[in-house]
Amino acid sequence: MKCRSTLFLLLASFATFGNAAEPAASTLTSARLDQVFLQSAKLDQKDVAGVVTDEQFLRRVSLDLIGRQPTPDELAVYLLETSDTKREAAVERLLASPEFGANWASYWSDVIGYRVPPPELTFLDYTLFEQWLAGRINENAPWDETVRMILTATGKVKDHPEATFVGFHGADTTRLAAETARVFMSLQIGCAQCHDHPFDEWKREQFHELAAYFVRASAKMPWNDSGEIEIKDKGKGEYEMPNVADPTKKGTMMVPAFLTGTKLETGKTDIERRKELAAVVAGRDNPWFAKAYVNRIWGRLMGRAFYEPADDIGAGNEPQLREVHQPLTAHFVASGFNAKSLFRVIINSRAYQQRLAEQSSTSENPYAAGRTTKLRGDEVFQSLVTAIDLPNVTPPRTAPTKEIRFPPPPKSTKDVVAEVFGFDPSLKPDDISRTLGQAMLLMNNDQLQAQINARPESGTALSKLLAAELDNAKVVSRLFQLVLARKPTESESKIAMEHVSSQSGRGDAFEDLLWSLINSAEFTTKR
Amino acid sequence: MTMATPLLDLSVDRNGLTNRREFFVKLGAASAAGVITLGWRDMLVAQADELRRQGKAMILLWMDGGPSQFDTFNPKIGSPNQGPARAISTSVAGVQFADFWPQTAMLMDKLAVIRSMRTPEAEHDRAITHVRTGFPPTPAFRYPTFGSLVAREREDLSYDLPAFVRIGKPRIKTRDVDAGALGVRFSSFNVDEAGKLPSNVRPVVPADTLRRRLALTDQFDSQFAAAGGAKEVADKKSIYDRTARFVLSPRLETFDLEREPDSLRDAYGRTNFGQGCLLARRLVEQGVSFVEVISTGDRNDAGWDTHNNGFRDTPYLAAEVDPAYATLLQDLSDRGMLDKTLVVWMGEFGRTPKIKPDGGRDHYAKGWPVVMSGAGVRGGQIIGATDIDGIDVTDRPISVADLCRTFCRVMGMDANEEYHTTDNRPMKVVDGGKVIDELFA
Repeated sequence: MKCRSTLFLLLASFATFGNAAEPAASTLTSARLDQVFLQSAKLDQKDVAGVVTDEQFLRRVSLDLIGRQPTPDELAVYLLETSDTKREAAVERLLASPEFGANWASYWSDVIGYRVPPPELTFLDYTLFEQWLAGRINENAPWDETVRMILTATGKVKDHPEATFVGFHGADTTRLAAETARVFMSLQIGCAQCHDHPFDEWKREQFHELAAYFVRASAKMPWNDSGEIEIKDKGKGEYEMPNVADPTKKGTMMVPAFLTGTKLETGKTDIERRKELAAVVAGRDNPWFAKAYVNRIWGRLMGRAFYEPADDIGAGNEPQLREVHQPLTAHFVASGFNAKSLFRVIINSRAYQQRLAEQSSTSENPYAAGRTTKLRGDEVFQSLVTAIDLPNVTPPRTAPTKEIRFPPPPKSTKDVVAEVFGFDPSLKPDDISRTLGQAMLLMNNDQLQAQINARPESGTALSKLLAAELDNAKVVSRLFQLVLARKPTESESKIAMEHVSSQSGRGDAFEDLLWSLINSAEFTTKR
Repeated sequence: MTMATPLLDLSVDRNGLTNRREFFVKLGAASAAGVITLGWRDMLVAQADELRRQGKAMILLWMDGGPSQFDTFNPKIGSPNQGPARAISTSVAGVQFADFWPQTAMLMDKLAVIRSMRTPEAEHDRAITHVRTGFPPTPAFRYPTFGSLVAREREDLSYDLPAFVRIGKPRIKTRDVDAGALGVRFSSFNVDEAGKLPSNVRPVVPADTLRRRLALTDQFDSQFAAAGGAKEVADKKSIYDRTARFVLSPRLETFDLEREPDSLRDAYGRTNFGQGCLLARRLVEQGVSFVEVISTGDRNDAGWDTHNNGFRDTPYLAAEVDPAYATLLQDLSDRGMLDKTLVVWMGEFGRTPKIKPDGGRDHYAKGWPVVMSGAGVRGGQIIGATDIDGIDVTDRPISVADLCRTFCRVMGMDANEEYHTTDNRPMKVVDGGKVIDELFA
C-alpha cells in the first residue's frame, strides 16, 4: 500500500470525517469547490461537458504539475490502475516529484524575469534562483515564508539565490515598489509613481511610501556574472518623493508605509525596513497576498484567472467567478499558505477536469467546458525531451577579453527552446501569440530534426522503435503516446496508416508522422 | 552573368513563383507576337513598375553607440575641438567631410546632410528608445520602433519575405527596441550575420517532403480542432502558413551573397557591415520595405561609443562604413532603385566637443548629424548648422519627431494616424514635429 499516507491526506482534505484531523472551518474540499463553481458560473451539472478521459487527465495534470507530458510508461502504469481514487493518487505522485518544484520555480522565475529590464553589462542568470525556489516548493515550504525570504535577502546572489529579485532589479526603489506589488500582490501601482492611479484608489504618496522600504538597499552590478550581484545596506538615507512640478527641486521625504496604512518610522536600517515590509506583504492581514497567489495558480491550471491579466486584482478590474476565488483564498490562508494543498483542491475538482467543448456543443457558457492553454517555454522543452529525447547541448563559454568585454553567455538547447516559446505568464492568455520563430524551430531546427531520423545508424528512439516493432499500427500508436501521451483515435490511426501505405519507404513515412505530431497544434497545447 | 540572377528575381512579384508565371504572361500579352524578349531595358522598366507598386523602401544604417560629428560629416577645422581628423572636399563645392569618408564624399551630390539634430537624451538606452521609436522613454508603454510601424502599414499576408529585416546585432541587447506594444507579428526578422541565413530558416528536408509533412500535420490538426482545439489550431495555422511560405520561398536565395560578383562584394567591403549593406540592397530589390543594418565595428564591442581611444577607433569604424555606404548608394542608383529607397545614416546622438586625454569623446545630443539620400530627397544640400566649435545648433534645430514625420512622408504613411496596440490602446504614429520640407525641395 504505497498510497497509505497519500490516502490519509486525501481523506483529510475531503474533510468529511469529524475526527481529530478535522480541518479548520475555512478549509475547502474539491467537492465543495465544485458546488461553488457551478453556482458561481450559473451552470447546472447537466450542462457541463463532463470530465476528461484518464489519458487526457494524466497529460493535463502532468503538464500542470511537472511541466511535461507523461512518458508512455507512466501512462501505461496509470491506465492499469483500477482504484477509484487513481486520479487523486496520481496527483499525489506528481506533487511529490522533484519536477513539480522545478516546473513552478520556472513559472515564478518567468513571472519575475520577464519584467526585469536586463542591466547593461551584466548577464542575468536565473538558474540559481530556480534551483533554490524548486527546493522550497518541493519541501512545500509555506509561500508566505518564501516571499519573506525573497524580500529580505542580502549578500551575493551566488550564495543567497533568494536575493535574485532585489538584486536583479539593482535594488532600485521604484522598480521594487512596483514589482513587489505586482508579483506578490497582483496590484498595479506602477502608474501611481507619477500620478494618482486613474481607476484604483492608489495615491502617488502610497507608491513612494512603499518605495521607501527599499531606500537603504544597494546592489552592485558586476560585469558579466550576475551571481556576483551583492545586496548591502547603504547605512544611511531616507526616501524622497520627487517633486513633480519641478524635478530639480528637493522632493518630499517619505516615511515607509504599506498600502493598508501600516507605517514604520524613519531612520531604520535596510534589513529592518525590508523585514517589516516582508511581514506586512506576506502576512495574513494583507488582503491581496493570498488572493493574488490563488488567482495566478487558478489561472494557469484553468486557462483563465479570476482576474485577467493575472497581475491585476485591483479594484478597477472586474473578476470572474468571485464566489470561487473567495473560498479558495480562505482555504489557502487557513492552510498556512500551503501550496500543495491548494493545487490538490483545485486539481481534484470536476471543474479542473472538465473536457474541452466538442464542436457540436451548443453551450454559450464559457465555464461549461475546459479551456486550452499554450505551454510555457520550459514546458515545450521538457515535452520535446520526453517525446524525442532532445539532447540539451551547451556550447562552450567565451571568456571576456580586452576587445570583447561582454561576450554573451552560451545558450543551451533548453535556453533556446525556452526563449523561443517563452512568454510572460502574467499576460492575458489571448495576448500570447504564436511566432514565426516557434514555427521555424519545430519545422527546421537541425538538432530537433536529427531526432526525427528513421535510419538505423542514427540511433534515435524512432529508428529503434521501427527495428523492434514490425507492426505499423503499433508504431503509429506508440508515436502518438510518445508525443501526445495518448493513443490515436480511430480516424487518426486511419490518417496515419493511409500515409504510411502511400509512401514507398517505411522510414520516410514514419519520419513524416513523427514530424507531423511534433508540429501539431496539440503538442504545444494543454488540452 | 551574375547580374542576371538578381534582375530576373526582380520580376518575381510579391506572390512569389506562381506570379512569376503571370508576369511572363502579362509581358507576353503586351507584345503582339507573344514572343518575349527580355532585354536589359525591359527588365529595368519592369523593376521600376514593381517597386512603384510596392511603395518606397527604407534602409537605416544604424551607427550603434553614437558617432562623432567632428569625425564624420561636420568637421570644425581650426577649432580646438576638432582633433586629428582633417577635412576633405566633397563632390559639392564648399561642403567638407572628415577625411575618413573619401568615398562617401564623392557622392555628396546624392546626400542631404542634416547637421543640427538637437535631442533631449544623452544616455544610450534612453536616446535609442527616443530616436528609434519617436517617443521619449517611459516605463508605462513600449513604443514600437519605426520599422515595426512600417511592417504594420505594409503587412501583406501573401508576401513571402518579412517586411522588416534587421542585419547585424545591436552592441548591447538590453538597449534594443522592438515592435513593443504592436506585438511580435510586426517585429523584425533578424539576420545576425549577413551571408548566413539564421538558424531554422532553411528546411533540412527537400521542399516536397516538407510540404507532405505539413499536409499530414494539417489533417491531425483538423481532428484536434473538431475535438475542442479549434482556437489553438486557427492560431497555429495562421503562423504556419506564413512560416511555410517564407521557408519554402525561392526568394530565400536573396540572403545568399555568393550570388553577387566578387568585385561588388569587395567594393562593399568584406566586413559585417559591408556585406550587410549588400544584403540590404538585395532585400529591398525583392520588395522588403524596411531594412536596418547595424554598424558596431568588427574590432571590439564598443562600436561608435568611443569614450576611450576615439582617435584610434573612429578611423577603423569609418573605414568599414565609408565604402559600404558609398557602394550601397551607387549600387542602388545604378539599378534605378535609389529613387524609391530612402537611405538614412544615423546613430542615437553625437559626441562631446571636449576631447578626453586619450582621444575619446563622451555622449552629446546637441548638433549631431543625420544623412539622407534617395526617395525624392534632394542631394547636395546641407541642412542646419552648429557654431564654429560645434558646441550647439545655430540654425534649423531638428527634433526626433521632425525626423519621424519625414520618414512617414517618404514611406507614404499617415503620421497622424491612430493605431491600436495588442491591448487595444489607441496610439499615435508620431507625436508633434514637422516634415523637413527642404529635403524634398
